[in-house]
Amino acid sequence: MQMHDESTPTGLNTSTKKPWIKPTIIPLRTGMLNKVGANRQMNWQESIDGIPIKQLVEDYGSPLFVVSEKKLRNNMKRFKRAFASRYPDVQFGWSYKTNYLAAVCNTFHQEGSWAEVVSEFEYEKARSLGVPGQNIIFNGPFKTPRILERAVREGALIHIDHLDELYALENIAQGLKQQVGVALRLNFDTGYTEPWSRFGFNLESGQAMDAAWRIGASEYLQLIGLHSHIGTFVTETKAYSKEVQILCEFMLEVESRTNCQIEYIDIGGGFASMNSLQGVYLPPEQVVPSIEQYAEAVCTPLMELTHEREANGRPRPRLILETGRALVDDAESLVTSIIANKRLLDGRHGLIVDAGVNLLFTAFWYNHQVVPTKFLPGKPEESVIYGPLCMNIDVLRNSILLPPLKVGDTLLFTPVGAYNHTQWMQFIEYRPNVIMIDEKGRASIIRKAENLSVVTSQEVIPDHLRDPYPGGPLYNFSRYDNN
Amino acid sequence: MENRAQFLPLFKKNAADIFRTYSTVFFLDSVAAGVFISVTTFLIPNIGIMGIVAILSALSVRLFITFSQQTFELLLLNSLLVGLAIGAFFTLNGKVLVLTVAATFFTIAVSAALSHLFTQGARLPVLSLPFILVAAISILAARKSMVSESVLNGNFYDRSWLNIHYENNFWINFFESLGATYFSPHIVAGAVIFIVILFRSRYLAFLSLSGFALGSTVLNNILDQDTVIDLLSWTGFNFALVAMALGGVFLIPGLLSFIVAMLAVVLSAFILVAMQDFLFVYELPVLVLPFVFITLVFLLALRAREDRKQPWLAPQPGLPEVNFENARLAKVRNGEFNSIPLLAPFYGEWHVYQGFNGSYTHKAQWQHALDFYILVDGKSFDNGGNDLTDYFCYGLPVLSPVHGQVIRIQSGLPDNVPGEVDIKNNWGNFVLIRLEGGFHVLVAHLKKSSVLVKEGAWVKPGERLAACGNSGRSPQPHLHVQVQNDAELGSPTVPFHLQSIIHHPSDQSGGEYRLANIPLTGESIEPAAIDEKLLDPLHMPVGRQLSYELFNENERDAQFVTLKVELTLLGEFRLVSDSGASAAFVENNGVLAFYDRRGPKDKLLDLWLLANGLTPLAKVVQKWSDSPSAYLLPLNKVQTLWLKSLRPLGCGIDSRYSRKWVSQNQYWLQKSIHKIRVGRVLCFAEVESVIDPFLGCKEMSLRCGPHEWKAILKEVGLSTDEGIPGWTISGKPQEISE
Repeated sequence: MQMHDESTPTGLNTSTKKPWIKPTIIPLRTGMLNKVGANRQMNWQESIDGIPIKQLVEDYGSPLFVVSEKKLRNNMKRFKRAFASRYPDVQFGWSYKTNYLAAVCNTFHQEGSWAEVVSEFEYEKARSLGVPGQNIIFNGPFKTPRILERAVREGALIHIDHLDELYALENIAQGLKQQVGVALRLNFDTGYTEPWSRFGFNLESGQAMDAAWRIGASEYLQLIGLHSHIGTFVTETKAYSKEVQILCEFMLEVESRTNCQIEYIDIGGGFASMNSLQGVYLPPEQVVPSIEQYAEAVCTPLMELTHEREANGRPRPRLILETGRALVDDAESLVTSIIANKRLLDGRHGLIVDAGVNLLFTAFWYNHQVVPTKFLPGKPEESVIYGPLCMNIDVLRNSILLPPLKVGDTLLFTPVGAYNHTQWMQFIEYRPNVIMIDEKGRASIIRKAENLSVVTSQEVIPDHLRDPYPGGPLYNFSRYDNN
Repeated sequence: MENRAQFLPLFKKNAADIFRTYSTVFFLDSVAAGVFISVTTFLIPNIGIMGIVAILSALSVRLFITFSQQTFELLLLNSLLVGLAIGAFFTLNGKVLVLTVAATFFTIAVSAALSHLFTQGARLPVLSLPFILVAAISILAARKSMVSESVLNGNFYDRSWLNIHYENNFWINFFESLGATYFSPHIVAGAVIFIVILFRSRYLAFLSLSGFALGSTVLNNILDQDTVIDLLSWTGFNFALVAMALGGVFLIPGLLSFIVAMLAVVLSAFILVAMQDFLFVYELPVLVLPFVFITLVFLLALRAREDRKQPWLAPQPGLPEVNFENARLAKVRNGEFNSIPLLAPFYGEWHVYQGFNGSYTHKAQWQHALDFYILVDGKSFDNGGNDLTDYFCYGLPVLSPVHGQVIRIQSGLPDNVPGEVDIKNNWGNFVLIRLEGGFHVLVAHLKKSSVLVKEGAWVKPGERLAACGNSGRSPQPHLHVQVQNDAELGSPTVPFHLQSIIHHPSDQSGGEYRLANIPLTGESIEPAAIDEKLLDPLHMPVGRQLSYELFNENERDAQFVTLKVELTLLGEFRLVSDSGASAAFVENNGVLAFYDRRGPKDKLLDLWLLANGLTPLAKVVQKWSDSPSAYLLPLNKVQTLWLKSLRPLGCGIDSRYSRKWVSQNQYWLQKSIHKIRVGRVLCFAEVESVIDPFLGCKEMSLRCGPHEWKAILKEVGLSTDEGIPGWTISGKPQEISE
């Protein structure tokens, strides 16, 4: 990756004749009031993992998603190191909903991750990639009876969300005459994050203990795990310390009262990535904790609270993490091209690019980092970046300082690895190529650009609707109607 | 009736002690061998009677004084020898009887004193040193006052029936000399003793022969014929004893220990000649002095070595076959004999900065040490490395690698700025832990004020001690681990190895589970987490009973055999089968490991040992290997004979294990393939073990040539103890009955 700033304009034309610079209109202001917020738009980026972006666009078109395998693996290694050097038994489960492109999933699986799935589709996708059942963590409020039975048979780790699921699971286990180890999804108030009380069993109200009792009384179910997920983009590490503390205390209570043996504690995900949430004043570099800080916050109380258990000759429970966003977000970028320039009524500059919220769903809540892909002369002015959709909400950035851009110039949006491939939509546009640059610096397509046959492949046209104009294209409609 | 019931076992125990003492002179430790040998001492009744008198007087001490088993055995042995010696020098009468009893008590005192001195201080065996001292003093003291004369003065027996010219016959000299160990230089006594040795241990018999042959050759070359004959028959056993002690009893048998033993035999010949002349002045016999002297000197000299290369000292004296098998198994499993097992003192993957005999500071007497740090893409830091917090390993938890007591800590020294070193306080902040075996583990260069344990605290493996830091002689944050003999900082280090780890070679080409490993510089390791699903079902507390139904190809009906866990006096756990066959085991550091198989052949126990003899309890482990004794396999008589003659000290099997979790059946399937070459034929066994997460090993099977064995768990239970009712669970889960 090559990063430049304005002080070393290596891309500058060195001929004596000055290049023509488009004029800009900038309102007069009394200087920057923000003493801590650095200007994030000073840089440009010419290449990704050693391949010039210009080259990538020529080969694979625009817009273009680019995944860095090196970055994925490095992230995974760093996260594993951060936790595994602080706790004896750590397992990561790759959160499929964050990015379930097969190449991304398998990169994480190769680095030792299990699969964390939340639906029938995700379960089947993980199995089809070759992930064995016992390496799948099955979460989520809706598991169809069919897939639940399959998960039981294949030994997946099933996390129960509600009592009806508990009963269904018991029936399945009874039918299969099999003891099934299960985990409970819990919700509680850590005091730091908004409790997600709609998922799992509430701890404070006693629902969780009731469910544990119910499992303890069951002939076919065994409680072996506890799971909780305290939120998303949690930038306060103390929230995790509190979560671990609550889970451990509940573990001790439930073990002594229902005579079960908890084998693992799953603390879910929610670690923040280096992205800028809309409405957050400070830049992510100052807001987002490092993974080591998260690890310290999780492992220190976990070590203390499981010490006695170890002293009694039982191994400490396995720690499972379902980190998604923080692992994948900064490993992917979106290259998009300028389609048109506009002057808005309020005087701001308007840019239309070929990727909109159809591709970059996360633009609804992030202010992504946007940089040009080459050095651009000219003064930055406040601009709005619009997508190509015919919808008013298709705005990628509401306000950003950018130097003048020409049609055909490209912009790089980062980080975009999390949630965009799972929440993007096929609205009036084809979704573009997604490529991955491997560790040796070679690019290859990991998801082909859509075309007409892809988008329409699932459609079935009834026979009488096969022809839009059965009487010929020039047929007079009014006469037809009268008949 | 009641008296008799109490008396009988007491009598049996004392009788066993007496006879065993006779056998320990030749390191045989066997009651049966002792019976035969004791009979030979009565070839000259005077000697035999005095021997018994002495040993009975010594035994009576047990009524008044309690000594440790080790000391007691020692004083019995020495009293016996003193008694035999007096019997040889004086004819039995009232005075001599009193002398014998008096000398016995003296022997007891000397033995107990020396035992304390030797074992506590120099960690040396006392051997028959008390006997030499007491016998010499008794003879000197009694010679003037006693009127009786030695029974050996005349030609006390006639060799003419042998009808051979005895003086040059090697075997006659050899047998007479063996007999002379018990003061009966009689050819029959010697022959019986040799046969007994041969039965008990072929290798000891071989050593005694080689020792005697070499010693007598040396004597023949440095002395004239007449002197040699007398000297040989009275003192030649010294050569046999030296060869036996150094060739296989106190050292692990092997080519090097044999060479050492033979060297000692040659030297002892010179000592013998010197002693003979020196003691002649006082008309004292040489007795076993050359043997005791040379053996102690050699053992001390070998212990003083800095390296731990061959020949290895046996941890406890024993039969060469037992020593060899234990050492062989230990070497296969630990890489080096006498190495201290540690667990990795951290979590996660760490690289070795400097290994054993490393290029910076791990040299000479400090060569057995490991430095660890964390490397990512060849760098130990990011963000420039100017701050300590840039280093990946800085501040990470440091764990106790052992069970032990913290005896010293240092925690107030500052962490150096990267690149700087503090050579005033070499070790920086440290924790020093004493192991039960007397060794000490040092973890050093810890972060300032991070030490969580206090002096005197008992710690166990995996307990958090401190954080990795950069104090002392440490240019960048790293963790130093070593095992040393003494509690002083900087005292010489001893070899150790890490147990139950995942080992990554320096080219980072994947990781492999190792039961024992000493990682080299540049390699990296991570501890393997123990799995409760394996730990729980395979945990075997005292009193655990496992009853199996054993099917085999020969018998139509199944046998019902029970394996039971017993705890010995020495604190060793043993799995004992109905037949009395047993094997010791340990279940720590994430491994269940069996060793020291004793007793008769036993199909179920041998099947268990082949199936589960070495079982790592970490889930990640898929493949490992071991090398248990070949006699666990169902070998036929020809194969057994062939092996015993080719590999008299015993040999191991090439055993490869693999394990996987079968999710549809919810159990572990542990498969193993055992191979051994007997001559040109390959003996090949396939063994399977099914480990249920609730019941433990519930099924075992073996296929080896025509043999097909299968054992199915019928009952798991705990034997009844005082106040604790026993319980059993049948092979099907969740049917507990009391």
